[in-house]
Amino acid sequence: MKKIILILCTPLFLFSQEKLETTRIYNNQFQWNTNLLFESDGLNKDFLNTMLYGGFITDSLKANWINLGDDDNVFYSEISNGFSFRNTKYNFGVSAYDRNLINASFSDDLMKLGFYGNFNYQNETLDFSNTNIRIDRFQQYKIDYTFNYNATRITVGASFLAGNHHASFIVNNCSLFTDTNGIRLDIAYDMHAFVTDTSSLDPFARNGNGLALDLSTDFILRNHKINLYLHDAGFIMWNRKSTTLITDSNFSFSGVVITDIMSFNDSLLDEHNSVDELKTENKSVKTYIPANFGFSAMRPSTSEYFETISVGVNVKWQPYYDNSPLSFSKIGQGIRESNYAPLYWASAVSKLKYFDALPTLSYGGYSNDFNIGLALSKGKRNRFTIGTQHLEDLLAGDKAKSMSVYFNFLLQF
Amino acid sequence: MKKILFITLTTLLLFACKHELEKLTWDLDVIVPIAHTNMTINNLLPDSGLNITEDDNSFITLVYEENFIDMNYDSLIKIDEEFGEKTTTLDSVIFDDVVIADTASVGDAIAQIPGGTIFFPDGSTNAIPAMPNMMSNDTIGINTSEYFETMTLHKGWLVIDLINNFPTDVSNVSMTLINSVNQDIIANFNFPLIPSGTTSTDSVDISGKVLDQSLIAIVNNMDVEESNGPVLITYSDAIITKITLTDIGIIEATAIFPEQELDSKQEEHIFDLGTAQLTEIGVKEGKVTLNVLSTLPNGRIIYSIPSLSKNGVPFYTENTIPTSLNGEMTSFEFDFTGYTLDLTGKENREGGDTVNTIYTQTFSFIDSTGELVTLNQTDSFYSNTEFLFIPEYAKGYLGQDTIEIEESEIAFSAMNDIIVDYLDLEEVNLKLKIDNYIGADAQLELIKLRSENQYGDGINLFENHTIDIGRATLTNNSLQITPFISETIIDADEFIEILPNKIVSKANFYLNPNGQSSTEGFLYPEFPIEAGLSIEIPLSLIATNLTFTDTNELEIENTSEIDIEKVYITIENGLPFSANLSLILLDESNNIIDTLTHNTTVFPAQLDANNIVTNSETTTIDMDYTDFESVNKIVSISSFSTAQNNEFINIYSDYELDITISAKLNKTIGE
Repeated sequence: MKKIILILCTPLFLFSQEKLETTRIYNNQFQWNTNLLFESDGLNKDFLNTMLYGGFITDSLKANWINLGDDDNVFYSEISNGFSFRNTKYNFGVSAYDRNLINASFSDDLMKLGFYGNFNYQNETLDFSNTNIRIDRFQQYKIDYTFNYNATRITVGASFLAGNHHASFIVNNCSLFTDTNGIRLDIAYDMHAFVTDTSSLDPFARNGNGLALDLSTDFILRNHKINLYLHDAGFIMWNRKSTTLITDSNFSFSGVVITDIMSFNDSLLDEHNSVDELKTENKSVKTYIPANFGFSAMRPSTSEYFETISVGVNVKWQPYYDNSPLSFSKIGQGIRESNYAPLYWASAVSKLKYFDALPTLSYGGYSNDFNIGLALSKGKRNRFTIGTQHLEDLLAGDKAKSMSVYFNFLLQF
Repeated sequence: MKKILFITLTTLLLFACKHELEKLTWDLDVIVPIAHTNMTINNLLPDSGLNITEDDNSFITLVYEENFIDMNYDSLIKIDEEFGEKTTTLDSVIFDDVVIADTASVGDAIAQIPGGTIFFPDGSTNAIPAMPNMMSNDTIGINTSEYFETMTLHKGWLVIDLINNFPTDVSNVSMTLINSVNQDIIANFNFPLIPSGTTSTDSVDISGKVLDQSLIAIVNNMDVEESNGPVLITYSDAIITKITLTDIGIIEATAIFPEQELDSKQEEHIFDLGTAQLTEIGVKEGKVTLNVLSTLPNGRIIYSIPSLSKNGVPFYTENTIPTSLNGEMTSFEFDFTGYTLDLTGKENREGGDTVNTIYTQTFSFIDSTGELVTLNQTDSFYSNTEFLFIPEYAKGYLGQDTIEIEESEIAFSAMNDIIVDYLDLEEVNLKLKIDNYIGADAQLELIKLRSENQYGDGINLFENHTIDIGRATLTNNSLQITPFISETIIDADEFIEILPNKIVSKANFYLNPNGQSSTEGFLYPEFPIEAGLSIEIPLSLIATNLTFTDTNELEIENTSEIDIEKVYITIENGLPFSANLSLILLDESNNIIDTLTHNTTVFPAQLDANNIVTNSETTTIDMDYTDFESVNKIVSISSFSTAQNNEFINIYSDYELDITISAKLNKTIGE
């Protein structure tokens, strides 16, 4: 119902516009950006709604969710708000963003265990390898400068990252074998867990500092405007109040060993109820924020419907932890561990009478699927843009695997 | 304006139907192992006192061991006697002879003659005329205060010696001895003739007389005879009168008693040890108590036991005895722990060494203080000796003894709570093992050895069976003892197959049944005869429904956090038995609450052609979970049957029963 209203009202909203401003060059640009993104390659909105709003998860729901997508489930969420200022006369820009990221990947087997338990998987091995969950909250303060060389522009930027909170749970290898009738559980795990100081959950608590770099270049090549970029290549160093757990073990559990099974009482279990103390350590840890790099190419369109057409590839880089120096293998590691498939995209700009439309078709990303994006922009000097990267999911209802909305206010003066 | 209105309206519509937040919940079914145990045959057997042994092939033999005879040998050689009682009274006190002498010289006699010194000068030679009544009623004082003040004698002699050193004979000597105080006549003496140069002696019995310290000797008359021609006249020549009080026995006296030995006892004491003839005892614990009561002043006693020594040094003690005023006894205790008691009697005794005999020496004294002391006939010196020895060992012939071991029952709990339809044990050995650490021959007469079960059935193994037991030997006549081991082994499978709950026995034990041997015997009470009964049951059997019933306390609290839906008991049976298992839950009043499982069959392990287990067999019992809140006990009834009903199955220690308890848990996450 809400979707219908939104769809129906959008044209009204769009058509009730002010008179178009004439083109004029402004030296200063101030923007506000808000980006809400939930993206998954398997889990759908139904899953998200249930997680957010609660309720009883039926066996039917469990089966549906587990059967969605492939054996591994990627889930990514980003909520960011911020503003930026750019002076085109002096070619510098500053920005400040508040960013909240969740990047998770877990196997269907983990969902099976979590939702069903292990009773239905006797004599089977549930594999939870390559499960990772990373949650970040930080503020990014960026400054950049653009160098102009004829038709080529090179922009360099540096960001200071004020880290608030981080939690990560990385499981390289983990499996659970349940023997018939539960007489034995074979558990193997190799995991890292890290969490920043939890004594204060102030959203603006300062638990770490970091640095990120930007580098991009624009140049014209055969009537194509080529853009190569590297954004947000950086890390946050979290303080020593953070807690690290690294554990690597495998064991077989056949129950508490007792000598006289006929004299059984549950206090025997209590006596043996000593979980091996997980050894945690307080130390500083470095984690990475997702970096974007890629390229795009844009050229004027010969089509009467589109003004320009752009294509590009975006790749993210976010390794789990700082376990080796930067190298090609580290680059490959970061790409794999980002849970982000290279996004191949194509977009166009369509100048309509009363607004600009920016349709996008892409494949890849966290959803690892085709995505249709659409942004609508209104205004020349002061522009408001609202868009989504997953228009198709907007219409899919509870079966939507992704949901995103972003909007941008641009003021030029 | 319209734009704003639409934006507002749209926003409100979009968010108007906001979901209400609910708790996220879902059901989870988890199956986990709870407890695990690995049991061997040892764990399966009820607490029974059975030991499990195994050979090199891990073949199990159950062994039941029990002490069979418990005898106390302390009474054989314990010494607890009192002897050496002796009383010494005053009349035993010795008083030295009192000797008093008086001298009447020639010079004194001539001086009494007018002109005698002129006519008869010293050194001259003259004939001496007869002088009748030369002494008449002359008195001579005798002072004995040096010896006594007064003395009443029950015996004694007064001896008078007249030594005539005159150059002439004297005759008609008459003397009277009287007490100076009361003038009582003590004695009269008459000597008709005392030739020159001779001594005349007379004595009188003064028993019953009372003597004062001052005596008077009255010379009633003494005549000097004419010399036989001229004789040498020496004035120093004299007639010496010596009065001696001798063999004095005192009834009462105030005197300076000399230091003297009152009594001396050097004697052997024979201990009553029955038929035992012991030559030596090592004292583990022992004491000698010397009891003395003395009314005599300055008593002293020397006590020595040459038979009792430590490190070669015999026992010797000297003690002052305080004068008893009110009849109180003075006791001296001596600890003889670690001593050796030689029971062969006095060293170099006449007739050679004896047995059971010790030699002691007791000397009692009164010491002289040099002062007058009054004693009378009631004064005495009493002593006796008490001996109490607990031996560490004894050597010698231990004598003949018969110890009746009364009929007794040994509880045999190994078969308690066992019921069986059919049980056939391939072999059972009953062993009577007697370790004799005594240096004496012995004999055990088994009057009865019988097993009985709770139903009254019984099997006799022995009736009036005699076992000869040789003697042990020492190493170099000292510890270490090499025991004589006697083993009697008999086949006792029927003895056990009735599942007895007691063993009844009655026996007599004979020490030295054949009398004394030429080999010296010994006994170390710390190393007695050990008689043990052991029953060895090699675990090779055929059994049908060999049922063990066991009741155990069970405490499980229900938890509301987790719902247990089912409990699984997975049994990996490595035993060559099939089993029927029943588990019954009881409350504290022993009422049945629930039956968890009834006659559930557990399959036996797989066997090869030699009836050796090759593979385990797994059985799973699943039970619906019960409310254990009121459960207090669990009764397990396990009936085992061997896999082969007509062949003996050997049980090995590596046969195991692996039991895992697991449970299916329901949990609603989020509640």
